[in-house]
Amino acid sequence: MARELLKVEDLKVWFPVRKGLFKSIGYVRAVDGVSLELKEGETLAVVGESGSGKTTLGRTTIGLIKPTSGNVFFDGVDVADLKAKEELLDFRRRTAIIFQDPFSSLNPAFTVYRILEEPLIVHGYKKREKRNEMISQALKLVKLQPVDLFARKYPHMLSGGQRQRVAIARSLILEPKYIVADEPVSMLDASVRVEILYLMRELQERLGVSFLYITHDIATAKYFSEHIAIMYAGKIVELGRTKEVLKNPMHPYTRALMEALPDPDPRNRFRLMKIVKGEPPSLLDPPPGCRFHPRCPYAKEICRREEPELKDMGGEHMVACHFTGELRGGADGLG
Amino acid sequence: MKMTALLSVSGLHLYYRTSRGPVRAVDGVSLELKEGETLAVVGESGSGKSSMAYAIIRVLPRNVQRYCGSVVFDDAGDIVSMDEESVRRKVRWKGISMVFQGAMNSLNPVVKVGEQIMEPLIIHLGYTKEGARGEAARAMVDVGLPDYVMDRYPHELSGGMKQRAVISMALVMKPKLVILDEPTSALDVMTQANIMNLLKRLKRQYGLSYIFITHDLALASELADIVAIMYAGKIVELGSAEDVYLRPAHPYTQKLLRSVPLLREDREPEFIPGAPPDLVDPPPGCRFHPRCPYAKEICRREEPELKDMGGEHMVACHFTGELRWDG
Repeated sequence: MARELLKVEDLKVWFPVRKGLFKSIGYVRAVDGVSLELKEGETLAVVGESGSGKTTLGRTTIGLIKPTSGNVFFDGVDVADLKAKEELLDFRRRTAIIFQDPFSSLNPAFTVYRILEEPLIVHGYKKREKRNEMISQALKLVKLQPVDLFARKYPHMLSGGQRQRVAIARSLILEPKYIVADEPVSMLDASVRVEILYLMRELQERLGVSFLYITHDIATAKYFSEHIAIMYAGKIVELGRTKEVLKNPMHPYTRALMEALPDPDPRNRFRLMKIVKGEPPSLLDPPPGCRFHPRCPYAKEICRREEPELKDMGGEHMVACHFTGELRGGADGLG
Repeated sequence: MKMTALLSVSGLHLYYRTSRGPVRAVDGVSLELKEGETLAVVGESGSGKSSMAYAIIRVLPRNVQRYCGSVVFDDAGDIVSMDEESVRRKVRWKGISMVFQGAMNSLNPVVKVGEQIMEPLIIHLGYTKEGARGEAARAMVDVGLPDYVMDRYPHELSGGMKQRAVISMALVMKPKLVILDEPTSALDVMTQANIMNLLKRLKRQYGLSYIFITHDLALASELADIVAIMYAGKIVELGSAEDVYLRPAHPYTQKLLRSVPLLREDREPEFIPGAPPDLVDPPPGCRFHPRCPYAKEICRREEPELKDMGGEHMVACHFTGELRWDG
């Protein structure tokens, strides 16, 4: 059994909304009571629409955002307890992030060499030879070769896929244990996406890093994660082993997400997709009861009143729905 | 479905002038589209698919070096040889309209959405403001926009609503052909599915033809009656959706299909090693040969022609028919 690397417990991240300078008029509940675990060398996919809180969750786990309440444990230590400068520096060395947009996450005035050198300087690698060696190592890992050629290039001289490789190289250069990959391939061409995801998987096998793979694309999550968490309006609505969850999706929202994503099939053009109505709720004033109830085709009285808890349906497959057991079976047009 | 061609493109070329030499973005493209049909143009970035759209509706940048071939639309004649004034009067927006890539983010932020939809009616068709407002309101109903959107500014709308507004602008002049360049690429999955359903409904309702440009084969199958696979400025495979999805014959098409992560079947997606060529200096022979696992000597030397494999399934490969596809 792999060791547990990250543990998130009842995490809440609320952003105050102010009127004028001081008066708080409420909170945007971006993450509202999320618990999850990530094992060493594994990938957990966090899937949801924009505004589901998945990015906020990811950033909070590497200390970029402070939790409102709840805890983030990294390697057994509560991240909130890291106070000393050395401790923080060490935590930041062991965690990293890859951003969505490789067109804006790389400094356009820096060469690839400089982009990769920056974290090394910050983390006190004083010897130039050592830095050179680490940079060339990182470029080799992400297959940007010949290394000398790519090190001298500026971001604008690279394709989207190559830029994202630079971003991955930067995230890897300090040999972290945990990387938040926030929509790392959604800006790339379909054919390049798979290539970058394979690269991430290969690096994971070689270096043993764990990924939190944040995405809205449930199809790539299917092939590139061991576990999956489906987020809706700041909460996890379904959680479990990816294979199990996608084979037997139990939450109506998970099914809706799957339904909205076509596979290539020439018959698709003759039918309309079944889509749930409406848009995700405002996180400033989420609906009472189950947050999905205004869009849910199965919503009953209890869904408007009572918030469903995440329940284990067996085999670590957790679902937050009042009618979980009853919706099972009908694989909802995915046959 | 009528059998007359609505659009007939033949030998279309569009080269751009750059300091490094001409970029051969569209390099001899021919195809036909019947009324009511949808053509999906699928390819990686840099394959020339957007350039082909610009060449068809003739919105060209300044650095055009070569623009030739013919684009015959309906009864308007050849767009390539027409003078600019006639294109503007007879074709653009009235006959062919276009939803540009990222158009939802180029709405004018200081003009109300309704007024932006009304604008072409007033300018091109001489509508009064009241008349245009009525037409715009109808166009908005068609795309499922509530009427209060008429007096809203773009920043007050969600991404999905903005995209609907942009589509209603393309429809308000009642064109026969709408070119859609990656119309859902910035949207969430659910919103994307909604927009695809909307496009299907409009197609049925008005007998519209679309040219749907995308890099996503799965999404293309939501609309396409015919599929054109583009690689490095050329069409390498062209045929009915059934032919291209179920019996793909070009190695590039086969590779593209295998790169799609499937949700309803279990098959590890594969990727295509290498990158598309530089269009300033494309490789000799078949442009795909440096990435093709089946490439032989002839592929390096001779450029394959598009050949009909039967039933208007066209493939440009020297070894067509020899490459098996087992799904």
